[in-house]
Amino acid sequence: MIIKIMQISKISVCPKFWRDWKNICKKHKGKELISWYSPSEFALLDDESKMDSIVMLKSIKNMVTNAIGDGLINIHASLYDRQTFLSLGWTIYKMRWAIDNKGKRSGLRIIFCANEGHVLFAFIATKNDCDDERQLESEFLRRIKEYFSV
Amino acid sequence: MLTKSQQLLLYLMKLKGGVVDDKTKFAKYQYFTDFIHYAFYAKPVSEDIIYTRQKQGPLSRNLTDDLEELKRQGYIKESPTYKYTLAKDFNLRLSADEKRTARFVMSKYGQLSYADLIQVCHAQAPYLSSKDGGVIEYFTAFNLVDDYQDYADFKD
Repeated sequence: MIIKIMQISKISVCPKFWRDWKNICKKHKGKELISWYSPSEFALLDDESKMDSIVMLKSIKNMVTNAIGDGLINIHASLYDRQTFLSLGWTIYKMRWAIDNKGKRSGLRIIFCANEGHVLFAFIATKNDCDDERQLESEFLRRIKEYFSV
Repeated sequence: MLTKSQQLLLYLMKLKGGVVDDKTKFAKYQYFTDFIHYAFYAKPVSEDIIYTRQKQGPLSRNLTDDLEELKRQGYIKESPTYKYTLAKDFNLRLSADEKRTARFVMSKYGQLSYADLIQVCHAQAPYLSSKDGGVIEYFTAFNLVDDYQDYADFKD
C-alpha cells in the first residue's frame, strides 16, 4: 500500500520553459506534444493547466508530483550537484525522461525544484541540446532566481 | 475470433501452468507484457486496449470483458475465488517477439506475490505518470527501457 508522504498542491513553471518546449516540438513530432488549446487560449491558462493541456507534459508533471508524494522521487530523479536555493527551502532536481525506445539516455532532460507542496519546472531540453553543462546551469539558475525575485 | 488481448491472457495463463490464482495478478502480468513490449517495439501486444491507474495498479479497461468472453467461449473456467483455469486448447496468433515478451514477464514476475507485483508497478514511471482513475499513456513505457536492460539478452 502506498502511503502519501506529501501532497503537491501548487505547480509553477518558469516562463522560458515554454520556449524550451517549442524547441523540443521543432525536433519531435506527435500529438502528445501539442496543446489541445489554441495559442490564444493557451496564453490565458495558469501554469498547471498549460501543462495539463499537453499530454506529455501532463505525464511528466504527474510523475514528479506522484513520485514526491509517494516518497519515490529519488528513484526517478537525482539531486542536482549545486543546491543554490536550499536556504530558501527549495531543492533542485534533475530528471531524465525517455521519448523513444532508446530509453532515458537519449530523451529529455528536466530541471525542477521542490519546496514542501510546491514544484517549479525550470528547464526542459533534449539530450542533444544539453552539451554545454555550464551554460545550461547558469541558464536555469538564472530562471529560478528570476522566478523568486518576482 | 479472439482479440490480441484475449490471446495474450490465454498465453500468460498457459505460461503459468494453466492456472492463475488471482485476477489482480492476471491484470499485472498483462500490464507488464503490454508496457514492456511497448518500451522496446513502440506498440503493445494487446490492440486497442486502454490502461487506467487504479489503487491496485494499472488495469486494462477490457480485462473483465475479455475474461468473460474467454469463459463464454469455453477457453477458461473461473472459480468463485477468482481462480482461472485453462479449459481447452487454443490457436495462438502472437508473434515470436510478443511471445518472448510474455515469457520474459513470467520469468521475472510469475512467482511474485500479489503484494510484490503491486509494489513493483506502483513505483514505475507509467503508474506514477497518471492520476487516480486516469489513462496511463503508452509512451510513458519508454521510461521502462532502462529498468529492463536484461530484456535484450533474455533467452528462455
